[in-house]
Amino acid sequence: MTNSKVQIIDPTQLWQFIPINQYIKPPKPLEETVRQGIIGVFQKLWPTKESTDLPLTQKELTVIPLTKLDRIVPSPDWTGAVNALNLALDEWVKSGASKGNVAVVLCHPFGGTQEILTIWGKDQCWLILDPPPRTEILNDDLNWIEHYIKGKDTPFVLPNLEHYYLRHVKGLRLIRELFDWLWSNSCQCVMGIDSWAWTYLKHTMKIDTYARTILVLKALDYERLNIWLKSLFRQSTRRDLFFRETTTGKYVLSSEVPIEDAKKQPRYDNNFLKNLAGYSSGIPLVSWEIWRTSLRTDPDEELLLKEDELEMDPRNKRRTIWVLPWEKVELPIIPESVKRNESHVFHAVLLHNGLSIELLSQILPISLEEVTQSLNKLKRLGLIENRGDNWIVSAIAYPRIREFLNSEGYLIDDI
Amino acid sequence: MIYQNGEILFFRSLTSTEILFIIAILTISWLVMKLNRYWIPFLANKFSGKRRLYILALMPILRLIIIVGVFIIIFPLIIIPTTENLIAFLGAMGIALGFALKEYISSLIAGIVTLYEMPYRPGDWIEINGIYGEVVSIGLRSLELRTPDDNIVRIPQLRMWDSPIFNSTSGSRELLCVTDFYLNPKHDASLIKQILYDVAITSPFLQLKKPVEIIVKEKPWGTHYKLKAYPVDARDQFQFISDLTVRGKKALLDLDVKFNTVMQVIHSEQSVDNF
Repeated sequence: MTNSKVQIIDPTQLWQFIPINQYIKPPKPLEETVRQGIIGVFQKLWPTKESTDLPLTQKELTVIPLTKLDRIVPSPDWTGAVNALNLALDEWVKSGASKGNVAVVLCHPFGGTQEILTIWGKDQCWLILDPPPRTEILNDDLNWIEHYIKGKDTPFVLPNLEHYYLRHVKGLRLIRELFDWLWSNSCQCVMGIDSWAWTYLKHTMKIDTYARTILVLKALDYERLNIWLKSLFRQSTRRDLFFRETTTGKYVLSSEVPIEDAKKQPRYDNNFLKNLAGYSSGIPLVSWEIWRTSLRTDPDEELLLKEDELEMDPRNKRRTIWVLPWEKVELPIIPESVKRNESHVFHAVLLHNGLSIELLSQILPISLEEVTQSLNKLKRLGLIENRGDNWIVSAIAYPRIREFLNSEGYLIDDI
Repeated sequence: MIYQNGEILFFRSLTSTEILFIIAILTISWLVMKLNRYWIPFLANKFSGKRRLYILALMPILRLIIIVGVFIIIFPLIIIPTTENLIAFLGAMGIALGFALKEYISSLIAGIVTLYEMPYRPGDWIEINGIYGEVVSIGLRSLELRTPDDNIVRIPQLRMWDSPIFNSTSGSRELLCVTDFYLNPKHDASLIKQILYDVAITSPFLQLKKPVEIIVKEKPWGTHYKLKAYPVDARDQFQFISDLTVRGKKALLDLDVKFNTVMQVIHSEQSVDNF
């Protein structure tokens, strides 16, 4: 589908925090849904070994080295999102506790809201609390709450509430105590919580009844993605970069078509962005990760010169970065060999936004050895990765894992 | 009514080609029905959850289509399709059923009835005559159950007429599991209820979309707790109950709650008698 028209969105409106009941996910293009459905059935019937080779038609294009990739698609700057959160919470902050003393900011995995909340808290000079060690939670140790919460009346921020409980018989006391305290006090508190933990605690402890203000970051639809991805490379380089699809040569991001090309046929195709928004459900860091994965460069062309060279030679200011067509982007699939143990691992890891091997073996009814085997298997498949001691699902595989758990009958996040 | 030489014509005279055609149709349909019993469960097991149940549900529907199709093709080839002949055919069938093959035909009819009444479907967990298991396949004459011990039990469809059928799933993937705890009555029941609730909601097998219920009943020998909850997948029911039992016991023992056993009860009753 080719569309040269783009709805104009005010770049300052890129980030918006909205009430949870107004949240809408970007739609998946119909063609892609049908294509994925057919591929899924074929995969079930005739499973094939996953190839790590990219089926590129443009063999000469290569993956961009990490250091250069970090300059083309750097880590996001959340300033705009922090301002948006400030705007959304402004009235609630000023109201004191009259509109409820707890405001909840929901966050999808890889949604970036924890970072946004932390920056917002610092800007507001509010107390930002780190969670207690998980061993303390498991030991029914309430020292943390006695020390950091009780007896204090300064407003505070809990950026990641999902780290305050464990799905274990002894892992729920701390969060219950915390909510009981919040319920009986008027101290203002902003809580960031992962959407999976929120859904779990909502079903088991009715925590949604504690907060009247529940916000969520508006999903990045393809128009917002267009603005965001352009703003990313402008963060780190003054060079004009053009992102063009490898097979058609069409421009992937709008309003970047050079003047000499603009007179010809419509050269912009938003199909990639629509697919990206649909697949990632508009979650910023999932889109970011896939965008990075899909970029290629021509090895003959020196990609990025140093900025001082750039000043000297203006002709080098324009470079083309090639983008794989959506069908060629290598997204992990969940093979038939993923069984019940692995499903439990996925669910546990998502409910806690990361867990160590030891905690996984304590939470799940499987041995440490089986947990290790499952994690190794999932890591090999590119579905899970470790950050220090913690295991998390990989950003690029997250939408597939969510779909998989849904089809297996698990409770998944409901935003 | 069609006459030939003053006699009513009932059967058509068949040519050798027609006979071969009928044999071919019967053989092919028999083969397809046999294959049905293998490839549909094979295909269904590639999927999980609702998709698995939907595919399994195709099995009886396909069988019904084949039976009706074969009947429509063969009947007018063998019998001259007039009203009188149809009545005569059904009458003859009735006599045959009434005498010679009563049990067998009764099972076949029950098998056909199950196709539209659907008292059980492939993938359901049912109990008939004390036999509990998952319905693996439904044939015309019998159904196959896989018991928790992985035995395949073939039960004649005839049982449908006179035996109660307990269906725990009725086409859905959810199945209520009950885990029992028998405790010494000297304890704080509300605390135990809270602990058992936590045991349930922290089980990875739990279907969180369904409610968890705890029933407490005081018995002469102690307090009986029934923890009622649903697993994510009905096939995990025994692992789910085991998980709840293991973790429930540990949590209760950590609280120093005493469990009641038959020996303890007998002993305490004897002590009362002696007293």
